[in-house]
Amino acid sequence: MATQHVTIAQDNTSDTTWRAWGSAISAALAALGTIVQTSDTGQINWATATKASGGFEIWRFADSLQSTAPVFIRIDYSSNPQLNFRVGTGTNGAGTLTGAVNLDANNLTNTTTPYDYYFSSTTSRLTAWMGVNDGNAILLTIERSRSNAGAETGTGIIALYKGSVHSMIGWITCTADQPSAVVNSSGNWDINIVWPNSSTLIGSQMTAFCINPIGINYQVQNPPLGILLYWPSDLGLAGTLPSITLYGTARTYINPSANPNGFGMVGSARVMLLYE
Amino acid sequence: MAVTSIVVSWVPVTPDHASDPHNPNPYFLRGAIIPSQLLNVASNAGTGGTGGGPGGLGDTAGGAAWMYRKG
Repeated sequence: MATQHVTIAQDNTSDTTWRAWGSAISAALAALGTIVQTSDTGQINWATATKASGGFEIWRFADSLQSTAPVFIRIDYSSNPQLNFRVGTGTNGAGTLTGAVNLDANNLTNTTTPYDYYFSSTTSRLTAWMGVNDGNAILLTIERSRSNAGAETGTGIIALYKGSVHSMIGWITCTADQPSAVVNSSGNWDINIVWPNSSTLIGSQMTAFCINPIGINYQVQNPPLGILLYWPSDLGLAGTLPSITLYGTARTYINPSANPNGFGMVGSARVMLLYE
Repeated sequence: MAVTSIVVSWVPVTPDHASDPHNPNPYFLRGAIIPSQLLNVASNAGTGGTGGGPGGLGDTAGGAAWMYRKG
């Protein structure tokens, strides 16, 4: 498990400032030391790239399931500045993913002010909260499917993604004898979640809510770890949260910002991010 | 009052897709760890004015309610 917290100016003023933004994200991913950048040809050269042309990187998981249920992530960096994530089960070696779902592009706020970026990862998970300081923040977690004991499986890939324009839950089947259809939604999250219509506070205890996405055969899946939702008034922002036990293991979450929020839920849910 | 404890409401899928991915009709929420408070809330969710999902799914004691909320 690894984390990175960096502050990055999302400055689209010039090629130089744009490269500083994109290369800082790339460097943070590399510094995690968990997921691995592939050797696909055509990937962005941060010394020479221009914001007009943009560029991409291909990253992959590096766990024991990667050989039988591979996961590849394509990140496109564009002007505005803008990020576009894709997730797939293979690559042609030149940057084109196969079996992929396009999580779509979201613009970040163009600002010279350094914004907070949080990344947390294992060799089989990438979780990120990028540009958390305003409403254009991008929230992302890409994980393997899980058993109901929390163990990662090679059945599929779950991607939860929310940005200022596009939000999506993606499912990619990794099991050869199962339908390869990708289930996703755009605009709002279509999610299965037990959700209250008021505060969950009981004394000093509150409840956070997992997200059960739809996956293979349109079946409800066990929840990913990366993102939890909570009733907004239940918890102050940016404090040190008590550990949260999920799948029988105590875990560390953060809630540095009120953005993004809503998620189509009554009360306009807020989010906390796995940060370990 | 500062929050000192955060519990999680989650929905384990049963039977497990990992052990039985071909099963087209999983039964979920059996034994879900959901406080009774949330059971009551979810059971009333369908009456809300903002598009709440269907009311809670009845189960025997020890079961749980759920709602599907399309954004």
